[in-house]
Amino acid sequence: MNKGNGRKRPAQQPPVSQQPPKQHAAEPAMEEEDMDEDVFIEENLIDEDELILRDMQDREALATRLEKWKRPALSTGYQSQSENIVFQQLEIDYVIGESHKGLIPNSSGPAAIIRIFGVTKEGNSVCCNVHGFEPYFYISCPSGMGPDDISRFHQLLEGRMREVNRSNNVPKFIHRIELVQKKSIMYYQQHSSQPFLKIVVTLPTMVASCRGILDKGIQIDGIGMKSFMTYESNVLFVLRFMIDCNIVGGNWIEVPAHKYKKTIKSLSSSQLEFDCLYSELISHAPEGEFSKMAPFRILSFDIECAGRKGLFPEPTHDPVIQIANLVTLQGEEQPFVRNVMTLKSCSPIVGVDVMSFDTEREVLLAWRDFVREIDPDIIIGYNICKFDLPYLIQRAETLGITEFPLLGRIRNSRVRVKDTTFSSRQYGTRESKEVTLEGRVQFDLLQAMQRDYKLSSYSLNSVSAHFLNEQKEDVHHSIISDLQNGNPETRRRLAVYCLKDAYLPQRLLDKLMYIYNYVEMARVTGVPISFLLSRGQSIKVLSQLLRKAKQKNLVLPNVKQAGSEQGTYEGATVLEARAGFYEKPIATLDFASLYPSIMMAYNLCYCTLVTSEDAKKLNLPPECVNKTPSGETFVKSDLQKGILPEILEELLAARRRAKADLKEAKDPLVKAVLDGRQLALKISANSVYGFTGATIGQLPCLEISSSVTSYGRQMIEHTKKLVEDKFTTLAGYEHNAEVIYGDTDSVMVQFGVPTVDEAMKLGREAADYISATFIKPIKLEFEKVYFPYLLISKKRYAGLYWTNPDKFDKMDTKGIETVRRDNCLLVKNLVTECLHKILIDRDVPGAVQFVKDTISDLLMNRMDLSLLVITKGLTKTGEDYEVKAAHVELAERMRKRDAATAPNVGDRVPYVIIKGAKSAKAYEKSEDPIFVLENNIPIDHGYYLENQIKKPLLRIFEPILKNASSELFHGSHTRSISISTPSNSGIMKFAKKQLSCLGCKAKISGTDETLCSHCKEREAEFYCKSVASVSELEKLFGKLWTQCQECQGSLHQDVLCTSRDCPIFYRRKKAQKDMAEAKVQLERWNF
Amino acid sequence: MINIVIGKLDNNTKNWRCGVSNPVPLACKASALPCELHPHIDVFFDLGLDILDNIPNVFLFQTSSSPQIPNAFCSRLPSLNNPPCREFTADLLSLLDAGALSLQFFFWLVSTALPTIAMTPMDIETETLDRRQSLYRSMDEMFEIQKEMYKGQQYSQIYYIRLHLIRTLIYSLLPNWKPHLPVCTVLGLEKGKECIVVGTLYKHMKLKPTILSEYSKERSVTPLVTPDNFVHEDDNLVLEDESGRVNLKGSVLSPSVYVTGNVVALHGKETNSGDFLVEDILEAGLPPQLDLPNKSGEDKYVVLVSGLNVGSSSSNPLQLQLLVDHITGHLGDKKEQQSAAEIVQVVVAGNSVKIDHSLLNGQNLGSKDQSKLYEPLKELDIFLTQIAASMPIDIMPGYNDPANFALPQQPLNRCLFRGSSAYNTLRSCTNPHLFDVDNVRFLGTSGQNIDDLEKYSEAKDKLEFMERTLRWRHLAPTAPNTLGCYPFTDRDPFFIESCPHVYFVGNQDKYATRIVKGSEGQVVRVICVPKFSETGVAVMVNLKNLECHTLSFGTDI
Repeated sequence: MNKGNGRKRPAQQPPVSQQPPKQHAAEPAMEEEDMDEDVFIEENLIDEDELILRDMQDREALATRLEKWKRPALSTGYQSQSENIVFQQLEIDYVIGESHKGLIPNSSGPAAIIRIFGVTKEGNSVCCNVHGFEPYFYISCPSGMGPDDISRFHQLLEGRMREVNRSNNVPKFIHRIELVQKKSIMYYQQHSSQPFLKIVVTLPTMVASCRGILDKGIQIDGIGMKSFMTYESNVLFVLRFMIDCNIVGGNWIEVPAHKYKKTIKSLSSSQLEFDCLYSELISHAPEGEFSKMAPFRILSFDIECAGRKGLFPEPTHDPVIQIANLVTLQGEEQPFVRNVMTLKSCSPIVGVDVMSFDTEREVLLAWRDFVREIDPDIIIGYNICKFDLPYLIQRAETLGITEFPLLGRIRNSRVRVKDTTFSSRQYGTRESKEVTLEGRVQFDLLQAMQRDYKLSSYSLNSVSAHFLNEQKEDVHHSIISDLQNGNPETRRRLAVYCLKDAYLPQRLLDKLMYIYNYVEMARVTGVPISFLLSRGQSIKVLSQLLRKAKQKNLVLPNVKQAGSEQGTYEGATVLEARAGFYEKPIATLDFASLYPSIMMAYNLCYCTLVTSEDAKKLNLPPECVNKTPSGETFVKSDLQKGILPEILEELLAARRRAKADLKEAKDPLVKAVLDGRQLALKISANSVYGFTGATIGQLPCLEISSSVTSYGRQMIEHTKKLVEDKFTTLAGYEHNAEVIYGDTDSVMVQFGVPTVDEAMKLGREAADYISATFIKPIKLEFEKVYFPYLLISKKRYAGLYWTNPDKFDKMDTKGIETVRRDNCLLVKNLVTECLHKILIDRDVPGAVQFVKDTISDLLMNRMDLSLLVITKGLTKTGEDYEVKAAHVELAERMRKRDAATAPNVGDRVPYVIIKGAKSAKAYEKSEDPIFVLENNIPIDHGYYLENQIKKPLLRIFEPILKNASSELFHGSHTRSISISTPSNSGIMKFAKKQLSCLGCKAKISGTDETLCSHCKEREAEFYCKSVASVSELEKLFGKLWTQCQECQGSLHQDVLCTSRDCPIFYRRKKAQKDMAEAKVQLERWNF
Repeated sequence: MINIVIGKLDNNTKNWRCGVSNPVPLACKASALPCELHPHIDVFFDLGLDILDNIPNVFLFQTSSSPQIPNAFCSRLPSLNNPPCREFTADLLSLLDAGALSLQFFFWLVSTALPTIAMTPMDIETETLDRRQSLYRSMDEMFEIQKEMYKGQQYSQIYYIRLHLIRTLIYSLLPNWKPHLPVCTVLGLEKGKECIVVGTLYKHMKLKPTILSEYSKERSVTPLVTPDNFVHEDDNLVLEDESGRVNLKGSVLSPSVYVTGNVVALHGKETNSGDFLVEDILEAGLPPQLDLPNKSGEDKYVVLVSGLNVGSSSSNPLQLQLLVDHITGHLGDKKEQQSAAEIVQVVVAGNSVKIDHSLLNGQNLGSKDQSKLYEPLKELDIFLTQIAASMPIDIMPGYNDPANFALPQQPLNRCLFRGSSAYNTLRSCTNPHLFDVDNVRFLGTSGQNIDDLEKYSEAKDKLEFMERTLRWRHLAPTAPNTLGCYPFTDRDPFFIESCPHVYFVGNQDKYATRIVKGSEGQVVRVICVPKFSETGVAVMVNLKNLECHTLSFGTDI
C-alpha cells in the first residue's frame, strides 16, 4: 500500500528533514509512530498541554484522511501481471530513450518511446511505455526507381542528414526506406495507386529536418537536382501513433496479460508502469462499456500572493501565501479532499484541512508533496496556465527551491515553462504560457471560457455570475496583504476566499459538463484531450482526414504554407433585409447543416476535384461531373466517392445515432456522455468546411470552400424564388408570400396569414415542396415562426420565437446590443426592456414612455450609478498605448491619487464619464465611480445620451416610429436637468454652507429651523417626503447588504468584497452614503 | 370662504347630536363638539329641536367673506348644553356681533381655546361617569435610534450580539437539558462525537427573492409572480457561529419552522460527509416574567386597534367614528357608557393612514395633490384628537405610515398631527412598542415581524408564529436578513429580555388570541389585532385577568 510513497521518500528526504517540526501537521504521517513521538516531545518542551492535545488530534485526523486520499490499492491480478490491463488514457506523449532490448531484441540506440497515461476503472493510475513505433513520412517515388536506386537514395539521404545534424550523435538517421503503393488525396485520378517511398527515421524531430532537405532539393546521380513533395510529414508523432493504432483521444486501451512487462526501473509515480510493443495494444471504440469514464482525479486549486501596495504580484518579489486545493473524483458530486495551505497560522475552517507553515518554502514543498500524493489526472483552475502554475514555479526558482518543480508523473522530471502564442482564425491570437506537467492534463477554465463563450467579461466573478447565478466575493489584492499581516482570523478569512476560488472552477466544470464534452470531442475527432484547448480547429479535421485517408490508402501532401496567396473567395450570402416591424407571423425555413449537406450532395472533396487541365485531358462525360456555380469541376460519386463527404456522412449518422440513444438513455451520466457526443459531432461536421477554407491551414483547398458558398448562395436565391412564385394569390393562396430576409442558411417568409398556426402549416408545406427540388441530403426544414418580428438590418433582429402555435418559447434576439463590453449596463437594460415591451407586451407607446422616463431619470441625476459604469481591461501601462484611452488615463490619475488602490495591468478598470471642461476630450473625462459617488461629481448626460444609448435605441425604434430620433431624444422630458454640485471642486472651498429650507431652498438665517415661515404650513408634506426617501433607502440598504452577506456565506463577519464586476457594488456603496445623508436631513425635524 | 354647519340638539338623550346627511363633512356625522369639528368646518350652530322637523337635521352653509352672522342663529346658541362652552361661545359671538372681534380671530379662538374648555365633563345634567385611571410607563427607549447614524456599519454586529446574548442564556439552560454532553463550537466538531453546538441558523432558500435577479441576464418571458411564501421543500438549514458554518441534516429539525437568524442549541454529531446530524433542539424558551398584578382589582381595559388605513378605499369613516364614539362614551345607553369608562388606554398599532406613495417622489406638490396628501392626515388627526381629549392614546408607526421603513420604526413625527399633538395624552411611539399599564407589560408590533415569518417559514396559524418568537426569545429573527432593520452595533433591541403579559401584533387578517404558558409559570396573552379598516374590529384586553374580547363596528344596516 505504501509502496509508492516508500519509493518516493528518499528523493525528498533532504528538504523534509530540514524543515521545522510544524511541518509534521501537514506532512502525511507515513512513519506515524516515530513522528508522533517526535512531535510529542518537542511540543512538550513548550509546555502547552492544550496545544499538544489539539495537535495530536489534528494529526490523527489527517492521517486517516490521507488514507482516504490514496488511490485504491492494486489488485493482485495486476501485481502478478496475470490480468489484462484496461485503462482510459488521458494523455499521450513521447520521450527519447534507449530502445527496449527485451521487447525489440535486435535494436539499439535512442528511440522514441510513447507514454500513455491513464486510469483503470478501479482508479489505479497507469503509465504505459510503448515501444517500437517509428516516425515516418512519404515522398512520391520518382518514376523508374528500382530497389537498388532506393538503397542508394537511402545512403544519400543519410549523408545529407548527418551533414545537417552534426551535433546529433545517433548511429543511424534514416532507419529504412520502403516502396509502397499509395495515392495522393489531391485531385481526381483515374489510376488506383502510384509508388511512394516511405521514409522511416529514427527520431520524430528528424522528420522535419529530413523534409527540409527534400523540400530544398537533393542531388541525385542520374537525375540531377530534384526536390520532392513530401506527404504526411507534418503529422505530429503522437497523432501519427494514435492514427496508426486506431486510438482516439480519451478512449479505453487494453493490454493483454503477459504481453506487457513491468518496468524494471520505474520512472513515473503511476501505480502501474509497464512496457509493451505498440502492436500489442488493443484500442476499444468508445461504445457500450467503453463509453464510460474512468474515475479520474481532478485537482482544482488557487493560489493567493501578497502583492506590494500598488503593484500586481510578481514572482520575483511577492510571496505565495495560500494555496487552496479541492480534489474530486470524476462522476462524484462532492470533492473528497478540501484543504488549504497557508503561510503563518490560520484559524481552522469547518470541513477543510488547514495546514499552516512558517516559511514559504514549506508551503511550496507541502503543495508539491500534496500533488504527488494525490496524483491528479487533471489539474484545473482559473487562469492557472497563465498565472498560478508559472507563478509557483518562478517563485520557487526565486527562492532557490530546486526540488519544487517536480510536479509531473515522471518522478525526476522538472516542470518546464515556456511562452507560447496560440493563434487561430476563429479565436484570434492569444499569448499564454505552456507548463508541461507530464502525465497530467491541464484544463484552464479561463481558456475554455474564452474559447467557447462570448462574454462581456471573463473574470471568475462574472463567469460564475453568468453560469452559476452566483456572485463571487472579490477581495482586492491590496487587502490581501493586510489580511495576511493580520492575525489567524484574518488569514482564515482569506483562506475561505481562496477556497471559494478553488471551488468555482470545479463547479463550472460540472455545470458546463466540460469533462464529458471535451472527452467526447476528443473521441470523435481522435486528438488527445490536451490538443483541444491548446490548438485550433484544424488539427481536429486533419486527424479525421488522416484516419479516413489511411483506410483508403490515400496520402496527404504537405502543401507549403502558401499564406494568403491563394486569395479569398466570396462568402455566404445574405438576402437584403426589408427592415420593419412585422406584426404578422414570419415563418423561418432553415437548411439543416447546410454546408456539410452541400459537400455531401455534390461530392465535394480533394479527391474529386478536377483541375482545369485535367478536365480537358480526361475528357470526362458531362453527366459524370458537377460544375459548381463558382466554376470548379468535381466528379460525381459514382466515379469517385469523396473522403470529405464520407467523413461528414459518418459524423452526421453518428450524431443521429447519439441523439436517438440520448432519447432512450435514462442514466444521467450516460446522457451526459451522449449529449456531449452529439454536440461534438455537430461542431466537427461544421468545421470541415472551415478547414478547406483556412488559407494558412494544413491543407487548404479554396476550390472546395468557394464551391460550397456558391452553392449556398444559389440555394438561398432559389428558395426565395420558389416561395414567391408558388405562394401567390394567383395559385389560390390567400396572400402573396414575401421573403423579407435571408441569412446564410435560413430564409424568413411572410406568408401574410394572421395566425401562427396557419403560418406553421404553410411553412411546413413550403419546406417539403422546396426540399424536393434539392439533391439529397440537402433539406429545407421548417423550424419556427417569429411573431411579432422586428427586423432592423442584416444580422440584427428580434422576435418572439414560436415552435408550437399555443405559446411562444422565448424572445430571440440577434446582433442587438447584448453583451458588448464597452457599453454600460443602462444600454442593455434599456434595450431589453424596450424589446420586451414591444414584442411581448405589444405596447409600443409603453416602450417609448419607458425610454423617455429613463432619459429623464438620467438627466435628472436619478440614475443608479452602477448602470453607467463602463469597464475596460488594462492590458499594458499608459506609455505603451498609442492612442489615449479613457481607462488608461484614469488609471494613471488614480495612481497619482493613491498608488495602493489604483488599478494595475491586468485589472479591469471601471469608469464613468463626467462633466468636464468644454474642450475636454472624452478620455479626460473618465472618472472612478467611487470617487464620483463620494464627491457628488456630475455625470456627463450628453455623453451617455449621444454615445451610449442613442444608436441602439434608434436602431430598434426606427422601423417602428416615424420620427424616432425627435420623439425619443427631444421633447419635454429632456428639458429638466439636474446637476449635482461636486463637493471637491475648487469653488466649493470658498463657499459658505448655510441651512436652507427643505421646502423651497430659501436660506434660513440663524436658527435651526427646518422650514422657512412660508413653507411651515406644508410641514407635513415635506416631512412625508423626507421620511419616504429615508424609507426607500432603508429598504435598499437592507436588501443590498444582506445580499452581500449571503454571497460571502457568513452572517457574523463583515463584508469585505470589493468586486467591481458585481452589479450591486456601487449601489451598495451609494446606499450607504445616501442613507447617512438622508438621515441627517430627517434629523432636522426632530428639534 | 367660511363653512358653517347648523345642527340641532336632541333633548331626549341630552347629547348634542346631529343625524347623518350629506353634504356634511364626515367628522360631523355623530356627536361632535365644536372643537372636534372637521377642520373644514369653521362654525357650528345649534338650531334646537323646535325648528321645523321637515328640514334636514344638519346643513352646511358657506358664507363668502361677510362676517355678519344672522342674529336668529346667535340667539339659539345659549341652548348648547355645555355651559362653559355655551357661555364662552356666546360671549365671543356677542363680541363678534359688536364688531369688536375680527372673524379670523374668532375662529382661531374657537379652534384653539374651546378644546380645553370642552374637556370638562359634558353631561352635567346626568350622573357623571368617571373614566378609570391607570399607571403608564413606556419602555420604548430601547427601540429609539437617537444619535446612531449610518456610518458604514454592517449587519454582522447585530448577529454577533444576538448570538452572544442568546448563547449565554442557552448555556445556562444546558445543565438542565443534557448535562452529560460536551459543548462545542462549529469548528470544534469532531466526526461521530455527540455534542451540543449553539449557533445562528441560516436557511438556504431556493425561492428567496434576491436583488441580484434584477440583473439576471435574461428577463423571463412570464412576469415573475411574487409568491406569498418562499418555503420550498429543498430548503436546508446551516448552523453558523463566529468560527464557521456546518450543514444540518436529520429529520428532527424541520427547515420550514426555522428561519435565518434563530439562535438555537443543537444536539447531534458530525457525519462522515462533514454534515451535522441533528438529534435534538433546544430553544431559549420564554423569558422570565413579572407577576401579574391587580388580580382582584377592578376591570380596566386597554383597546388595541390597528390598520385604520384612513384614506384608503377600504376605510369607512362612519365605522371609525363609531369606534371613537364608543370609546369616548358617546354611544349607547348607560351600560355601554359604563363599560366605555373602563377603558384606560388606546393603542393604535400601525398603518393608520394610507398615503399615495407616488405623491412623495420628486417635485413639490400642486394644490390638488396636496389635498390628497393632507386629507387622510387631517382625518386621522381628528380621530386622534377626539380620543386624546378623553384618554391616553398610543400611536405606533406601521408599514404604510409616513415613518421610516427599517425596524425599529421611529415615532411618527408630531408635525403630522397638528391638532392632536397639543394633547399630552397622545403618545407617538416606536414600533415595536413596549410599555406597562398598571404594571401589566405589553409588547407589540405593527405586524411586520410576523408577516415576514409567514413568508419564510410555515405554521398552522399566526398565533403559532407569535408563540415561536417568544420561545426563540427574539421578536424579529428575520431582521436583518429579510426584514429591514437598523444596523445596530451595540445591542439587539429585538431580544426579548422579560416576558410580556400581553403580546400583540397589528394588521393581521383576522382576530385571534390564545394564552401561551411557559415552563416557569409564565402566562402570556398573545393577540392578533385585525385590520380595522377591513374588519371593523378592535380588541379589548382586561388588565385584571388578561381576558380579551372584541368590539365590532358594522355600518351595514
